[in-house]
Amino acid sequence: MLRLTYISLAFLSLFTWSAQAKTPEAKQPQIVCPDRVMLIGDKIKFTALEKIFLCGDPDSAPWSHIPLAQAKFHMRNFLQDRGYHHPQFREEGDALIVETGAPTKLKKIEVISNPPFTEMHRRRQVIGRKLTPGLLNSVENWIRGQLRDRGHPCPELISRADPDTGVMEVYVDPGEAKNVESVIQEAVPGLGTGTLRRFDAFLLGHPFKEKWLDLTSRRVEESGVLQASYFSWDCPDTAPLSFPESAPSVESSESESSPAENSDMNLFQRTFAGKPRLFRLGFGADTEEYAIFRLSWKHLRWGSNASSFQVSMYASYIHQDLELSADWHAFAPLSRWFLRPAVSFTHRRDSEFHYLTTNAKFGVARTWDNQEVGLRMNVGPNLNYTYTFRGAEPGWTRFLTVNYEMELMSHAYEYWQTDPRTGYQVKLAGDFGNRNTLSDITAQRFALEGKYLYNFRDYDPPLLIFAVRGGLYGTWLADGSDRNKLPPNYRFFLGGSRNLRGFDLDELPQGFGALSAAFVSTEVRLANKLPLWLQPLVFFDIGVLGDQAFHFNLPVYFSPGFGLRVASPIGVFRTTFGFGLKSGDEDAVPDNTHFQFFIGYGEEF
Amino acid sequence: MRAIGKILKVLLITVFTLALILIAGVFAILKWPQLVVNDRVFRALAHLSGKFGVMIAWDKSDLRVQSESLLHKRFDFAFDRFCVNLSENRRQGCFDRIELHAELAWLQRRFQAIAMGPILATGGNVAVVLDPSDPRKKKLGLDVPDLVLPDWFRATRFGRVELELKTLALRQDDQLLFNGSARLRAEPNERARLDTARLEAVSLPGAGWPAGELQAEVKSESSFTENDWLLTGTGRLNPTRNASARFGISLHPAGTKVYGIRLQGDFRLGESSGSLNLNGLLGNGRLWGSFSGEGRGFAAHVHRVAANSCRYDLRETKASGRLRFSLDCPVLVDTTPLRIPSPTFEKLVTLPYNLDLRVRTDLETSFYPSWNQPVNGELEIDLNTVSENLLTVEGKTKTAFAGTPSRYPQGWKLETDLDVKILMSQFQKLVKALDRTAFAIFAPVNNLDGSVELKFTGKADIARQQGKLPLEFTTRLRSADQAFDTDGKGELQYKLSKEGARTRIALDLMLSDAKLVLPSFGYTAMPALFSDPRFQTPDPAAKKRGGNFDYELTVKTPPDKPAHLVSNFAKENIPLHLDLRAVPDRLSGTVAVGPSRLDFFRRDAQVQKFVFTLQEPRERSTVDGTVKIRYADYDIRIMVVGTFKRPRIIMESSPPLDQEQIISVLIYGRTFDELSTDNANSVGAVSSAVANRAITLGSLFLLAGTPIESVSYDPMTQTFTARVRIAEGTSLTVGTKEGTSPQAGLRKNLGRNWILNTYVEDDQKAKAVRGGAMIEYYKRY
Repeated sequence: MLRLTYISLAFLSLFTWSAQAKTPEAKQPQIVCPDRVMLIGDKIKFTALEKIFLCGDPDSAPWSHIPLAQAKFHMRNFLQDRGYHHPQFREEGDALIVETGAPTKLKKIEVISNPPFTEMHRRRQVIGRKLTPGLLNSVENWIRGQLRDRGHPCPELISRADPDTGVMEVYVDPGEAKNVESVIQEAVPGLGTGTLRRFDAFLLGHPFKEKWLDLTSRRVEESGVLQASYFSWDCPDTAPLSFPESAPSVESSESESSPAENSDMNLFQRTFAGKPRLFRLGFGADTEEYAIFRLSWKHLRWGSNASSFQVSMYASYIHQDLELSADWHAFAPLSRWFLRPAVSFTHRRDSEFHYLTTNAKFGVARTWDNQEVGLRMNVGPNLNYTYTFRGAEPGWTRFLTVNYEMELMSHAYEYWQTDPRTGYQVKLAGDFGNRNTLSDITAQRFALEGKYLYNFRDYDPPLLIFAVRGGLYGTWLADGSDRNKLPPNYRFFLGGSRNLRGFDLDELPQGFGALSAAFVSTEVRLANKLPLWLQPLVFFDIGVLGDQAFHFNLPVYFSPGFGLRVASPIGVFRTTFGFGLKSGDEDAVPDNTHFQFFIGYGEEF
Repeated sequence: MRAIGKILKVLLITVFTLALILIAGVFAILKWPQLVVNDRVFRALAHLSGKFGVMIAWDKSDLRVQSESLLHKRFDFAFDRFCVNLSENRRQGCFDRIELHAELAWLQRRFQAIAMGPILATGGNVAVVLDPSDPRKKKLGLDVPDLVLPDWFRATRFGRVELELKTLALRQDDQLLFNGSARLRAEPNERARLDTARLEAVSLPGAGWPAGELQAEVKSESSFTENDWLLTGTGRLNPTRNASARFGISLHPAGTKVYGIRLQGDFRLGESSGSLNLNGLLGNGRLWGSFSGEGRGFAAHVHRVAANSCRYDLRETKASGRLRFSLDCPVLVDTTPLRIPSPTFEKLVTLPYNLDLRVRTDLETSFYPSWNQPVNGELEIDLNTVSENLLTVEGKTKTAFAGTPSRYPQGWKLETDLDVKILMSQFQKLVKALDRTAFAIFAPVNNLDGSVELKFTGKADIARQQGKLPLEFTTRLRSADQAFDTDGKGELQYKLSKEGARTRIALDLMLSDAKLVLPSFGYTAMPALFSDPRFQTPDPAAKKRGGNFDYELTVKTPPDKPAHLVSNFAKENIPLHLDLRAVPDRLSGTVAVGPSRLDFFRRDAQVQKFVFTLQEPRERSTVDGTVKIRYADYDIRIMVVGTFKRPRIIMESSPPLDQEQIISVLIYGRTFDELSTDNANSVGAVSSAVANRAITLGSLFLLAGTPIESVSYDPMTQTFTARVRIAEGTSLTVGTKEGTSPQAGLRKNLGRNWILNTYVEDDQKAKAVRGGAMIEYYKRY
């Protein structure tokens, strides 16, 4: 794999150039308006409209001449908008010389609230920033968001800041804490009432939490049932706040609402249905398979319960896939049970294996959510035919298995999935197959994976993120079963960016794979501290393999290392530099300890 | 009859006898006047006078009578310590010495004074308590008595006459009116005639009459046998420690019962000073003539007030029994020129400071001018045109007044007709003058030229320490693209108190024709034109600094002629109906955008209404607007209601369309079904932001005025971000993005239904999280 080496190098070069560009240099007067307005101090970029107010517009007679006093007036406000509150002005001839002075930095935030708002310490990257209206908005919005995640749907607040001291005061009226009593779903033609409740990441009768409403909307949109959806609610018209003469008395020390004490509220779910059928055609490249081609057709609102049916085709030079599947919501609209029939044909040709497989599956699936966690499960028979060309004994292998998949994911993990910072995820998957039930081999495949991320002190944005992930995999083969007939997708490998980062992708074990594997990866990432979206990390991975199910053999493999995550505007780049170690030479492969460099695009821990 | 005859006989004999006795007595007295002119007789008479309330006493007397003949006598009386006390000590006086020398004789069938004098009364100490003041009986003496000796003094030889009052105290109503001394001397000339008399008087402080001195002299060439005298006098007054006055006066007969009067004086009162030169005629109940004078230093901004050749006329009116005073007086007032903020331009900008006034008044008062007597009349002041480089000032006031001065302002009526005009005929002069100052006139108003006029016109009651003056404010300003015509009416309220003067202007301003050009807006957010009120420096003193000026300004446009804004956003001028009220720190009222066409979402849209209701605190300000956009098959109406900060945006159409269809058509000009997924998501984002009231008015108009590529909305941070296409293949992100929000990959719209999709996915089959980039075609149908 090239791992986008060239792209990454170019990207890193860009960072280097950007860093050099920001190197401090001697401050030269900045000419804002030629022969008219000059700026001394920090370099400031003005918009075209701002320049009209400062310099005038020669194409518009009424705005062709801006008196210096007017330029000064506007400049003062524009500088205030950028955090410069103490500019000095002087006139030299016909020119206005503006010394920006030092920007005022936010030094302290005092929140006046009853009950007390105790979360402010979590907000990072506001103290020390330039005291701008935007920063005040940011702090206000953050507090508002925090309160909305603590059961207060309609907080009101006002703020003020002292540009001399850099102290910001926020007066908060959290408003009444509410429980979500009901959700009124905007009607979509052909869609049953309550159909969208299966996407809920919250429970009725429990405290309002806006973040989970957003998560619910995302689930709806990502499922494709609707093109867009969001929640709205009514807030009472209240008199504008004004700062109290004295701090309000503190009656309670906890701002988290309690369901028993809260009154009820109703949500309204707006829907943007779009047409139910989606045709999609695409071509491009990805990190694993380079050039790819995709074609799909979906019917996303089939029936009143919004069942879906799709046909998709995927092709790259190592992987071709054709799948017909459905999410058949055959039960009551509010039921989270549904059926998942699927037929797929897959051809894969990798360096270690080459096979053709077809699956016919009929799963019974369910989702479940409470206020903190969501569960997805799918259980059903799966008839699989695999023709192995390489990686096992060539020829056909047939499996009729009971396939199960279960995923437990905290809402926090799901919400921050593309910017991992907190939460946990546990996945369990496997197949039960027996040669007495139409399988050629009696084999049970089992995979348990988990992740846990801890945001140090719950900072927002995070500072240090501790992450642990692990996996336990095994395939039981009945005694007497021909191991060579076991297709590659029943075998396990370690190595690569997903487990042991000191080894190449699926480098371990050498050969046709293991029947059991386990690993634990730990990582500490310094986030949102360095400029240019750079997030350095250190990690330590450990793993073992076994040639029988849950029977592990030496050596134990280690991968200490470090890396860098770059959360750029065009996506996440992640690179690691690890060293593969092992506890001994029991694997009889002398040259598999080495430095390993990975760079990936879009991949997360 | 006999009895009657007897009675008559007795009476006749009695009368005859008495007559003989009387004749004998008179003869005796004439023959031997010492019989009655002696100290004992005089003391007896003085004792007798005490019975009638006149107490007379002296220590020693020297009473002599010399008889030249039976009917020609010379008297030489002298008294030491001579005292007179009248009316129970209300008027009393003592003189150290009184001498009276006279010579009387029977000549030409009558007694004549052959000689008088010396007459001396020296060392006098006199105290007089005047009768209680009765205004009804008081009368200003507009008549001067003739100073002509009676006929029986015409041949008299006079000796020296001297009256010396070492102390003279006048009291009335328990108040000391005068406390001082006086001396009157008249020396006979070589012909023993009195042709000159001199008066010296000194007033001491502490009495009602101010402290000072007076020297006066009256001369008569005819020795007062004819009315040809001339009175001249000089004096000085020192009413207080820092006040003084000097004056000179002359009075002389100028005709029958008419006297010429001339008064010259100057005064100083603290920092102020002045002078007066009065000429006139007095007599027949009238004082008239002219005067000139000037004063300086009355007020900080008034250097000098000068009156020249003022004509006055004070006369008794028999019809009303009162005094009437008329005045016609040109007055020049030199004020301090108002300082122009920049010294550089002081030569260019000279505000008028020489006021050329004409004051006319006509009033009636009682015969004796008194603070306690009512007066009424008219005061007319004309301000002749004063034209300076910048301003022209002219006008007049006419005040009809009536009231009692001592009760001012109670019961006073001061109706004033004002007509004062301050005209700035060339606004550009002001613009240029102020251009380099802190008070520069901002664009785009500084492009205008024309006239600005402030008039104080109408009726005002200025009776009290507080009052109102009506005012008018008019502008007629024009430029090639703009106009600013206003007609304002209001009033200037003032209040004078010990704490200082307070002024309040209330003005109703009608924008009769206003058109202003807005700057050319691009695809950028509105800059911060005003200071964010959340930035506050604690300064308790600042709250107290209210100043002594207050205002209430209402600004309106005529219903049929709104103001107009010219903007590149609009296809035609935007009509504005204003109804605003501004008071310090508070702006309220409505700004209503009238029906107009503008480019809205790249369509020809019709603004049906847009009413901004301004309230304080500013968060309460609301908007109520409707914009109608016409499409081929339907009309879309966008209604914006609620507060500025969080307006509620309602979209509806006729025939009815779904919300997504409306937003889709508005933003992309296509139905929702025709949109790419990316664009469809943008529609959802807009709708979500609308629902969360996260789209401010500025954002809405930015959305409406720019070609939107995509829109994202982060409900957590309530951040609304739009990518706008500013040129082919070039995009610009507007809005702010604070904090981090989750992103499920990135999509870039490449064109109609084609997107560049960078994605991250968890491939369960391959047990890999993979990221990639694909060019995809989306079609939802």
